Amino acid sequence: MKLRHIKIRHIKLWQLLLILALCLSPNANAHLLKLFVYTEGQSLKGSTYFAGGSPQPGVSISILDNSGKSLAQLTSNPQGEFSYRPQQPGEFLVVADSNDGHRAQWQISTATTAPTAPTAPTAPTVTEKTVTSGDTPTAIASPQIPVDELEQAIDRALSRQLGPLRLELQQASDRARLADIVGGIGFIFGLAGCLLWWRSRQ
Amino acid sequence: MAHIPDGVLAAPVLITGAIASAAAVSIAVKKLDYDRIPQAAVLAAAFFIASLVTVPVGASSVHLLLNGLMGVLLGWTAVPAILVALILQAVFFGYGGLLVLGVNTFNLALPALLVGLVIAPRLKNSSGRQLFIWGAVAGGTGVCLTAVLVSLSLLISGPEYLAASKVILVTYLPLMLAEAAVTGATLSFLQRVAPELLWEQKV
Repeated sequence: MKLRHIKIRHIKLWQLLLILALCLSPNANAHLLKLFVYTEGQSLKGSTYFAGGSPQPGVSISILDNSGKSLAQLTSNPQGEFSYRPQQPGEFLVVADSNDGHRAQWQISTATTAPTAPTAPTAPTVTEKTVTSGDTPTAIASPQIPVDELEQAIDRALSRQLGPLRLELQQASDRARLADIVGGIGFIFGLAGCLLWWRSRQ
Repeated sequence: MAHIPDGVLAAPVLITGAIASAAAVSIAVKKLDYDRIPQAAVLAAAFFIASLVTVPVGASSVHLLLNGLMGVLLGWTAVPAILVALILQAVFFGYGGLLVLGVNTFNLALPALLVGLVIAPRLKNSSGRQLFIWGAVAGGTGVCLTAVLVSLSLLISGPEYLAASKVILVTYLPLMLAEAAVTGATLSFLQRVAPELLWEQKV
């Protein structure tokens, strides 16, 4: 009789653990919509994803200018990415809305990367020149390339390289960390302890 | 999706939610049963953690809410417990905005209170399968009412959220089943190891 009782209890506990284990899916994505935007030359590039990493396609993206006027309405592609090239540099507010109550926004400025009007057509030749003219360091200071054009080309190349890196950094810091979890639980128990202590003094 | 972020809901909904939650918390604090604080802390911690364990359902993802369980075991004390856990989730994990805290608390606490009022008194005289079923009803009802309240909050704020509300109601169906099973199993387990938790219910 006693044995059976213990057995039943174990089965129930086991079931409970099974349910919890099923819930712990390894690619569990928290449902916090995240938006990341960076500039590449004069273009805004960005991606939408849920905290934890999985990209979120089909999110509607609004690009607003400084005065709150809507400049464009985009939708993120299957990789959760989008890009937009504004008419002129300035401050932009990018708002992502997945239309199910999730929303995120990101403020960005293209003014700092290139104050002058975009000179896209010349850009490839500039990079080509620096690459083909090879190992001699003097080639960079070659008088045929205007300094500001060179700067823009470097900016573009740098942001192309740094964009994904910054995205990764951002995603890493979005993940709920163990410290947060432990801190939260500790806070709750501390609060309970305070209440009980207060009670015991009365 | 019980955590609505900032910037989604309309101001009247936010204000109503904040007032309703403030009222509920003040009543709960007056009725506070100090003997229930340890249980409240354990359940608040479980609620806090449960939001990290998400399961993708279609395009969205869901996690256990545990508000039915909290209502049954804590009664009115569930309201401050939910509030504290929600504040910590917003601060530590960024789930749900701080301005929306009132609405989010209300959406989770009202079902907990109703479940506590209606189902908790029935647990005392039930056992075995019957207790599991009452627990399952409590868990399922908690999720179902929360889904309805979240959908209503979105709908009142803007008719463009109609599609979103439907998505929420559909994704909450499997959650309802999971929550029912977990709540039922937890209560059955509690009855064996600590039955006094089920009897001392005061609402």
